[in-house]
Amino acid sequence: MEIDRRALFKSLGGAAAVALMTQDQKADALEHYMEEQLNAAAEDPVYPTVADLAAKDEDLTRPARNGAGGLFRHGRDGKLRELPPMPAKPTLEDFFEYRFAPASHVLQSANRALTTGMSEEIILACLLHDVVLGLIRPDHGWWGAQLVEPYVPEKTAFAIRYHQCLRFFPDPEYGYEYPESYFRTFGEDYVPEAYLQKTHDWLKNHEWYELPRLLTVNDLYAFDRNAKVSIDPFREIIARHFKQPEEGLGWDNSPSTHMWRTMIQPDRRL
Amino acid sequence: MKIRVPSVRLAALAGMSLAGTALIVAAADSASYKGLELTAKSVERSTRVSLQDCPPGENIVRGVIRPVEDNEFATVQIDVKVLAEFEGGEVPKPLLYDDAGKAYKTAQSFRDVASRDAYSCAFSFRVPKGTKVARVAIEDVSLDLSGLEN
Repeated sequence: MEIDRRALFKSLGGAAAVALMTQDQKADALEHYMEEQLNAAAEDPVYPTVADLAAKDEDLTRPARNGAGGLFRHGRDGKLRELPPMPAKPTLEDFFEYRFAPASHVLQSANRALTTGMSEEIILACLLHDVVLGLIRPDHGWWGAQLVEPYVPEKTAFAIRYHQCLRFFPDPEYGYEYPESYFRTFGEDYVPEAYLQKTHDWLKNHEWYELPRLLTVNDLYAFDRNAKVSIDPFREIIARHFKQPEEGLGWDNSPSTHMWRTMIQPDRRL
Repeated sequence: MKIRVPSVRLAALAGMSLAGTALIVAAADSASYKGLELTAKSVERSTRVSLQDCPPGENIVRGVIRPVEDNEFATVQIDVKVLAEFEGGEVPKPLLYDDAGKAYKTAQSFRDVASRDAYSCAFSFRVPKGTKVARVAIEDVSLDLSGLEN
């Protein structure tokens, strides 16, 4: 396989970032890059099985477990992200600037909801649906809803909570397809666990089913590496629907304030 | 309603003989929808498809059929030309109809259709394996798919 050296270095954060990587990190990064390129080009790509992925999880020398949030793990460049200090009374927009950035996926997703005429509750849900991934990855729908629940409309929190579950279930009525990336992330032979099946069965008959389902539809179309979307088109929607606490996120007294505070100071030892 | 666009309708070359071999080439069906000239070019079957909108952007996500399913994707390639009379506005998603008249939806959408003059889009529809496809339609404008299967 021919490697496009420039594309590889760019994907790793540039030549300077590559220079700081250990030999092991470079080998891992190269393997990952080649796997991605091969899968993209192959007519019939090979995906891992559930057992293959479980075997990888047995490696206790990994830098972090799979579920660690982005603020707590290094990127593909092998380094932790530099985190600028946050304002004393941080707003949601401050979190986008200092902690969620570049937030390209959620911004693209919200932009698609905006340009396809969806409700402001859905647009806000798209904007916030994955921001909790900085903290934690497993069950991010439930965690993510909990994070924003005190500040957003009930429908927005509902959409965020259940979008994660609906991602595992294609729905041709709404035009939602099972993403190929899940073959790689969960294994080609993965079957959603019982709690997801039960939640899906319950949701199918719920009057708000459409809310998380529309979120999943926008979720599919928000992985354009070249797209540039700023938060500007969403400032008014945030102002209308996000109850910004006067003390600042992380310093108010809501049930999830500690989660925001953890993102402000992820290096705090206890 | 079906408005033919003769200038782009490809010649039907049914039964044309080439060096002793019968070559059957079906017509690519064309129609106009509110100032968009649409031509159905082909239908292909697969279990893994790109989910780019129309016109295609850089979205890298692909949809797949899981091994446990008895479905496949029927992907219809549609060429689009934006004519001078196109007045803008939303273009609904196309629907695929099988030969029994059952409709199938696609995950993909038309977006910013006037951003380019001409382009080609691949709309994928999740159908039961072996479904015979008949036509693809946007509202009451239909494109015939018979003979376009590769």
